[in-house]
Amino acid sequence: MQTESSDAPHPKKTTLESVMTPAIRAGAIMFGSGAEIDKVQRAITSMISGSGAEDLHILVAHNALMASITRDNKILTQVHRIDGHGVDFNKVAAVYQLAREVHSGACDPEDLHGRVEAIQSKGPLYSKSVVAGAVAAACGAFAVIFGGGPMAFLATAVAAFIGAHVRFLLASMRYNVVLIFAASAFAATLAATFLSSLTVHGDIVQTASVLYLIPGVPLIDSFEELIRGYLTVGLTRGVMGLIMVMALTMGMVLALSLRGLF
Amino acid sequence: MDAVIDVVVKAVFGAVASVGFAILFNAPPPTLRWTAAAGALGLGLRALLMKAGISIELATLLAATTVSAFTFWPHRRLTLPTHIFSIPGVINMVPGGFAFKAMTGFMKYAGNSDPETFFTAWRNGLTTFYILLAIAFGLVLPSLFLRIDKRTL
Repeated sequence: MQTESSDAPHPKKTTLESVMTPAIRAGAIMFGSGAEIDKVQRAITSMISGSGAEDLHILVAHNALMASITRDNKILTQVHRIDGHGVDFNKVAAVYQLAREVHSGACDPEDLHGRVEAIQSKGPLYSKSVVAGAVAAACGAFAVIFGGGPMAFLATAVAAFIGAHVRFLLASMRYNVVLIFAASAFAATLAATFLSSLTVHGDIVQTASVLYLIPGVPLIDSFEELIRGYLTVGLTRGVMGLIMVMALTMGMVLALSLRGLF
Repeated sequence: MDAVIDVVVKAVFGAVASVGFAILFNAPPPTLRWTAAAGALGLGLRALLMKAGISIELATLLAATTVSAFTFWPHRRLTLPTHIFSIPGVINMVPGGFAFKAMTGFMKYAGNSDPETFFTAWRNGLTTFYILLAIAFGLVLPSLFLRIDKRTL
């Protein structure tokens, strides 16, 4: 959506639009990829600040970004919808570097749109097998950190590997994210209850095998946003994080109950 | 000697956990070695402080603050946001064990109505909450000091 205070053509209109559109889109990519809101606002400001804008206002909601620029008594306002929130540090890094480049004048504004679209179309850096392996190693490491031995590491890693594959499978079928978290926690915990007989640290295996589902990024972002005074965004992000934790708990409790461990 | 081995084991596996999470978060490959260093530093320091008799909550706060301050180094070298290194770097301090005990404790209490079970679950739940608060606050603290009302990147 785009509005302007005047219908009269302006010689600088194209330039202003050509800066504003990619800047707000870049901000939306960053926000939807797990960046906290202060950084998103500073990235948008960095990208727009060189365009001669006299005044810039940015408003952020959980599912939309709005920016308004004033220049030569003209106002340009744009709203960008944010379809989903995930975690993709590669996109956050790319937008961050692009924003700094634009701010320092090292990027031609004409190239900006193409650069932002290239970031948007970036795919995952690692294959699903590599990510599942990394998740398995991370959860296995958690088992050792909690006091388990090599068998606890192995049992946890296998359970987390299974849980991660269930997560990827359901995500590829575009199921609701809360359901994905619950089902993935259920699968990992159920596998952990069977594998925990391999070690004396059965409870550690059951605990550590689901930790890859901890929504660390939204919860930490939420806390930082609340501290910095972005209460609405912080609360909505925090509530989403807590819903994920509840889904995780639900999946775990169901698996433990099925195995009669309560 | 056992204490040293424990600290080293925690540091090594802390690095493995952090890198695993960084890959899950699709972090660029050049950042992974820094994330590993942050993870090892955080968990190793926390284990060391706990060996020195400091409570887990305060040790977590100090370790998370140190990790967050450390990540300004790769932030400047690679021109990347600190969170890319610091969030996976502190995630290995998540109190999964306490959270699990709290959750199962409350479930057991629903069945047996034993006050002892209830209070133990509450204690574990509160410890979980304080550790999570320490992680989050420790992570934010250095950036609050170092970036005072900055409008651009």
